[in-house]
Amino acid sequence: MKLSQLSSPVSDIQLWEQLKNGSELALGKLIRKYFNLLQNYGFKFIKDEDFIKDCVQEVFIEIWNRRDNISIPESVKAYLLSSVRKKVLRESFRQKIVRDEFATDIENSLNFIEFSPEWTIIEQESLSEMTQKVSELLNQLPKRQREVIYLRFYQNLERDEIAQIMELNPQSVSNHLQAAFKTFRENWTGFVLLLHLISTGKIFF
Amino acid sequence: MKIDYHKYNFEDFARDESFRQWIIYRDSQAEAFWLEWMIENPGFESKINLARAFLYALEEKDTSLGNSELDAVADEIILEHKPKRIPFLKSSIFRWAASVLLIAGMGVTAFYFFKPLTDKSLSTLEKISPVLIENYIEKANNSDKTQEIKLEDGSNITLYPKSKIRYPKVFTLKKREVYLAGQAFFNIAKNPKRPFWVYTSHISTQVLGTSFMIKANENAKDVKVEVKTGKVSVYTLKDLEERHEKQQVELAGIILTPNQQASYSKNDDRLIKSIVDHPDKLDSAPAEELHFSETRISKVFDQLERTYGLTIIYDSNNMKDCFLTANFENESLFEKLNLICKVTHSSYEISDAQIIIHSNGCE
Repeated sequence: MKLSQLSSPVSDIQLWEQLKNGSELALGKLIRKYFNLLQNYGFKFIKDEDFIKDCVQEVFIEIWNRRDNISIPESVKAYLLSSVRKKVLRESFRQKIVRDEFATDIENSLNFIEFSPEWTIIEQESLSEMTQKVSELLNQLPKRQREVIYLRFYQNLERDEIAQIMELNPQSVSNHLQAAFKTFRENWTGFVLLLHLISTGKIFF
Repeated sequence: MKIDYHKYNFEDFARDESFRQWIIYRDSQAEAFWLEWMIENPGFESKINLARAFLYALEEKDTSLGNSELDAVADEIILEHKPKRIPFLKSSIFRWAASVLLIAGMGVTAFYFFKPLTDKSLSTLEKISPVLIENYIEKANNSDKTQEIKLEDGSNITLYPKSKIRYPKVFTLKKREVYLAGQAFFNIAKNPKRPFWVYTSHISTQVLGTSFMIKANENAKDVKVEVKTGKVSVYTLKDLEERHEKQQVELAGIILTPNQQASYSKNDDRLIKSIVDHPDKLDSAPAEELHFSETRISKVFDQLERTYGLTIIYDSNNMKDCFLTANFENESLFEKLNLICKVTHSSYEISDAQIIIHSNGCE
């Protein structure tokens, strides 16, 4: 497996150590590197940009304030994502953004919501249709599988990192991933086949 | 390292770093690479487009902040969460401003005062204001009292001891220009069509409104401008010179409003904006008295802002439970702020001529 430049664990750990020593520069670099990805993740739970921005900022403030006592995580990216996840879940519960009187645990009262891509970012029409179709198919998956897929592909994380963030054991991450992919591929193949038949005129509505 | 993309399925593309640089980080170099790759390798379009659609679907919405916004987030965190807050009196700006007063008070500059203009300031002056070299009147105040000077346009200048001022016999049509060494208080007649400029050895001040004080002892370390009423903009002489040479329209000056001051630091040829040492109530301030009884802190700050014409920055959410009971009479603004901070467990600092309150809340 290649290591991506952006989440190169060596330099992340170095940044973290510098941050622990009070380096404002290191804090700035971590924010530049991860703030947008973290916002994107938070947005999957609550569709409120200001609220999510505050949550992500709050996570960095807490890290900065506790830097003397904070330990060095194995994966900085996973640590940040997991902190944002907890922060969003807790804050939305506390601020009663999500009001579910029957919720026994906070964790499950909040959904990893369905994907609804914004079409405007995609100029190419066929690509935009394809994106819509992909999100429809992904939305048919159970929410845990959707989240695993998101963390695996959009955030480009390893199995163990996903397990840590979602508080699952690594094996069930693999299971979710496999099941999700099986369903997705089957549905996608069906869709492509259908497209093919329509475009070659073998099916009429 | 050469990667063989031909064996890639769409999941591999979606997880490929360079591919992600293109789709997720909108990197133009990566985009150019992939567009070219697709042309050179026909037949991969469907896999690549599926990988793109997949990432776009997962992304949903681009909520990304630009680098400057991200830096602002970092700055805010660092500024608001300094490990130790520096009390105002120990902040460098204040110490430095105080030393300026001291120097002026002891008259250290007297020795240099009667020296003629240096060659360098003369040549600069010649460039930006030839009228002050050719045909001028110069008045020096050698007494130990201030001197009033009335100019032809109706403006008044109070010239302090050991100071001198130079002005043209007749102002030009476009500008009213004077040169000051030492200290003077200006009360300028309004005339937007003929802006009033005060040059000193290092800085120049353009008057947009009415009255202000300039302390510019040519050989003293520091020079400053304090605004009493109206509005002025202040530039370093270097900036003016540059504009003159390059015919620029934009100027890197700073604008001052009442109770603000600009200090020039000779060491790094730079202007620093701050609050005057003794802020006065504005003449235009509402007559209401500063008497508070269980008053919401936001209202107190509002009233102080209007009284002194200065901006107070605080976290209204954080201080929503803070209330103040106090009858202010003749305390200085800084004494008032000290009291408010004591009551609300806060501290304050001055930055860029604004008052910034740090509070932990009053719950």
